[in-house]
Amino acid sequence: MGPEKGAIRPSAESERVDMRPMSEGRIARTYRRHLRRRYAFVTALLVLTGLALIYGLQVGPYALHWSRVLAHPGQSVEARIFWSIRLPRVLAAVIVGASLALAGAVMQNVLHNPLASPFTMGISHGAMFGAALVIGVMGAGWEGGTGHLVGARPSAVVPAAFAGAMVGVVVILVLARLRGFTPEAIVLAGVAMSALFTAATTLIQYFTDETALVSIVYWTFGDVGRPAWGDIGWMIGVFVPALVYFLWQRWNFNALESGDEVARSLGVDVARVRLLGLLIASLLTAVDVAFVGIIGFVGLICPHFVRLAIGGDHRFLLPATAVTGALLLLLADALARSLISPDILPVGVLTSFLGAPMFLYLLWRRSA
Amino acid sequence: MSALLSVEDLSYAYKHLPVLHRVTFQVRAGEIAVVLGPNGAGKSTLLKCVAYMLRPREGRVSVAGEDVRTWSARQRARVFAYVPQINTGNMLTVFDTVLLGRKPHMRWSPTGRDVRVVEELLELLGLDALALRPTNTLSGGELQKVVLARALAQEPRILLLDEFTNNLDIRNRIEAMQWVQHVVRARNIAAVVVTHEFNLALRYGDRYIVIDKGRVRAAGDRSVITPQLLEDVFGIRVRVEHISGHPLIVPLL
Repeated sequence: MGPEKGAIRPSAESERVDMRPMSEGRIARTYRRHLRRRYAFVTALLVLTGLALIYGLQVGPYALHWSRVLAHPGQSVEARIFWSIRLPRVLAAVIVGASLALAGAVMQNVLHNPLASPFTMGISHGAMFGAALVIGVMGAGWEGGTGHLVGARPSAVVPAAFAGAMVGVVVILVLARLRGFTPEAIVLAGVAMSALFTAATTLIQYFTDETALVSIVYWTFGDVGRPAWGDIGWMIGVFVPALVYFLWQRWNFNALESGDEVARSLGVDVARVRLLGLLIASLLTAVDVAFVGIIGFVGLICPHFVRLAIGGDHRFLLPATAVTGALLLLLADALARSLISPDILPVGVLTSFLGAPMFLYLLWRRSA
Repeated sequence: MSALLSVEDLSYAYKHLPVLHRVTFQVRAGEIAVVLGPNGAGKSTLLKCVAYMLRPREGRVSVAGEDVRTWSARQRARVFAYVPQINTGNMLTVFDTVLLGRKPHMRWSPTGRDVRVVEELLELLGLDALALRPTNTLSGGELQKVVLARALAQEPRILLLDEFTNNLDIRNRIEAMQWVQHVVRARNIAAVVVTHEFNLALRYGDRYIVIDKGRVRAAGDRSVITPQLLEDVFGIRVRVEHISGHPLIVPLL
């Protein structure tokens, strides 16, 4: 292997460096300290999220006493509330928050666009169209007899929302692959797909009856109380491999920060990293949206918040962003359950309410 | 001595627009080759084709006699370091940016040696005080040094610099070229430098390639740079003066 041999052969200058013992100088020590601070930041976020999780389990109209939950597993009312309502809800908040934030960080990187979010490729509108189609045309979603809307029946609506979300993504990625779309073209294609899905959804809403209309609108309110245990299994099953893949790609994402040309000159297959990054981030988002509906701003704001705190190194940015997303959604959901208790606000509304001003604040800070 | 970098009959076209036509030249180890030519002559495309960031339509690029075409992107990145014309800062620190240059050599994570290579370069270029600053807070001159350090961290055998001294003040310009010359000589590597600055080129170049409309008009040592050639290629009349023993190209207005 000629080039290997040639490239690695050190020059006279670096040979001198190599002869020295492993001692590192002042700069390297400062750098190591810098890395330790980054690890500490991620650890602190994890601890905070753990505390928020415990707090989230306690929030609700029914006061839980830990001793009684643990003493009578599966028997007492408290244990049932804990295992089938509180715990799945809180876990869903963790997974959805982490997934959306992670997807947002990857989208912003591979599209070179600070405004990119998990929904940039038209996923939310695609999912809404999918849900509207089965609710409006096939009459799914109305849980009859209970007297109030408890949301769409998952068996039909979840796959439809997922399919709707992915149709637009696949169309855009195929076009991008065939015609070598630039990042800007991909973002614009996402805007076009969103408009198309919105139009189609509006059409369905126009022709459907009130019950279905209410169901469709209700579906769009993101709510982490919706998924059951099995659904959470699905979400974790997609989240964990996606996280591992993204962390594996962390140096490629770092290279992309300096632009496509530099990344290419460093040996990165830019088109491949971009397309796979978009596909996996979209898959991650689509699964969550199908199960919980639309939760805005978490995916947009968390990467910005973390970048402001610890910079743009994806070794730390990706895990820290995921944890921040989990923390943010846990707190938002706890707030959503306590604001007008015993009623529950849909957390998606709350994140947008809080997210928009927080985003403006970040912009204000950054411009200072 | 045989050539380290050899480019033979290289042709390239964007869609149906021909950009390079049978470009041929050689550069030896320890030499700086300067590419001169008017805007749109194909200089940047040439650099990208040499590194196979753009796939040439025809022709052959070889390094120490080996055909570059058969190498993987990672192998190429260990041999060619490319510095683009326009660089913008981002939220990565100076240290991490230079560490990126080690990426073609990395497996899962940077090793102790990678960290030492970066440290060494930061010291060499006087960037130690900036090590933990995000690159979007640097001045233009500082950023150029960081980008050069990243390219050197690749430990390349061929350095490709595209209008590297643009946006630098006179002192930084000279310093940057001195660093390039120092590294090229000390590591016995080759550099291909695109520039529009005749006088800097004459000062630091060992070999010249003048291209116009995608074709090589002249290639060789300093003696190929004649007033007649520059008039043909750039359409301006010039005179070559000598000041303190250095040739100086003066445009006649």
